[in-house]
Amino acid sequence: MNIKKALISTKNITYYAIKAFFRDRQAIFWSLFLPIMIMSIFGVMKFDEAAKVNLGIVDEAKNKSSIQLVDTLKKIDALRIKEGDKDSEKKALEKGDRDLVLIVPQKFSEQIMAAPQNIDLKVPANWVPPISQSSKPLNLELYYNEGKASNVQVGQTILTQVFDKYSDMITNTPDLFVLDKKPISSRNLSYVDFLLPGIVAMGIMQMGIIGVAAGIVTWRERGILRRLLATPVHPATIIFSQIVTRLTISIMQSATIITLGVAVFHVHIIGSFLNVFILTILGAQSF
Amino acid sequence: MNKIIEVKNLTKKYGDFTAVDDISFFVESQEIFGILGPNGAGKTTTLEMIEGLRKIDSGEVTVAGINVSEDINKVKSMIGVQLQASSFFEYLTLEELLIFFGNLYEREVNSDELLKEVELLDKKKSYINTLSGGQKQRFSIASALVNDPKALFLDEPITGLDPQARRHLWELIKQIRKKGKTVIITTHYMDEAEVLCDRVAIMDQGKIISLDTPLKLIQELLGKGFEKKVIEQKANLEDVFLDLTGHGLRES
Repeated sequence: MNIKKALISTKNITYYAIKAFFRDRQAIFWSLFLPIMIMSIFGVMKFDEAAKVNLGIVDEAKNKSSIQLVDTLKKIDALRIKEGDKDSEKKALEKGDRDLVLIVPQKFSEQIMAAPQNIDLKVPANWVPPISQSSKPLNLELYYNEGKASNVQVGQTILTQVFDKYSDMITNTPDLFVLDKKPISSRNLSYVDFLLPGIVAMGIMQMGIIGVAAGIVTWRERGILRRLLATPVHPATIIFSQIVTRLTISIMQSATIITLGVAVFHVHIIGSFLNVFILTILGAQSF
Repeated sequence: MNKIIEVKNLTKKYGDFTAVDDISFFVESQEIFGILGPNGAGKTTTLEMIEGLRKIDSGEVTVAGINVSEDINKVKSMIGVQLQASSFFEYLTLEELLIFFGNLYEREVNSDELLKEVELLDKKKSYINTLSGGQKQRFSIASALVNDPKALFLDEPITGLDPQARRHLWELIKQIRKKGKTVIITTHYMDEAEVLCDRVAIMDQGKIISLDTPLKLIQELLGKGFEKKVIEQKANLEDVFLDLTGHGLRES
């Protein structure tokens, strides 16, 4: 097969197939407007909110220390705090309105009172931590929603950390190690940032699986393929030009979605546009 | 006379079923050659083997001296094909489609001239699915002419057309022949074969059971003592239809 001839035919078929594609409103809808619509819907809805952990607190102690604890917890961004009595909070948990319910018992303050109040930061070299008089730990009941495993996990981690810190303060244990967290580049990724690559990937897959295969099938059903085969064009050229066509459309589609994402939803593109471009081509090729 | 197509002992089998059974014939240059037969007689299969669209099981086909099995692309570039149920890309105009097909043959196409020939010039900016049945068939023929073929293959071109459109198409086919092209046509309308064809081959169950000019075939039959039971009417229902609705094309 003459390669130059094949390339000319490929260019020809591709050019007209793309032209036809852009006049086909249905095809445009599925490949361009649908992804954009999905992105718009999910982009406008604040899904970041849903990522918060709903924590119900039942404060049975109602004293200075327990209120202080609740305030501390309220300052944590990842938690959404609701207060109430034991029964109503447990009901809310059963309904799924809470992920976790923490019961602060009446004895809560006693434990704290038992600890020395003034913490001397200058620790002598031969200092041995005093063993707290009430070394028996106090039980705080924590009910959790089994259906929301990931939220429960996050909530538990936060609470454990908070109480660890509290215990350390109370038992007067200095922090021996501190993780000095320094964000190098705070990119502040939002929900749309994770959504966009997914939509681009979906578009490429749709083009790859539905586009090329169904395209050839439709050609065959309508008799277009047979008509093309009656010309001196090699069958491989026809399939190749279908792939080139879909690839070109995929690139245009991805470019549109990414451009729109950056312009309207301020999506952060990490890495270069060139990388995105190359990945798009490789991705489309693999289908 | 010049034989443009020669078919020797052509056979096609689908499993146990023999679609085309050891047929041989030739088509002379610039004639209109008809292949007649009931549905399933093997007309289309025969045509598609000559066109290089179907594999030849055994036998030999040469088009203008070139063996189809040996150089299929050369044969394809010399013939024009109108398929029984061929359709074209939606959302491309007639003009664009003709240029597109011309490119596949690596030819510059004068799309206006071709469309004028099939009387579709005023439709050149239309999409294919807005055309009527007769217009589609005429466009299909135009697309088969883009490569200025030596031989034109028409597979049941008048099926589904009204009497006016049929007559119009016959005129078109005669004009194409006048330009020095050979036309091979399949049909199961005997009136079409009688009006149009120089010679006809009648096929049944994969075999050619008779091949001659229409006139000779009729005389042969009469010679056997055949007589129609009803005396021929001076006009038939089609004549009535055409008288009432006119001979002009009813398309816009």
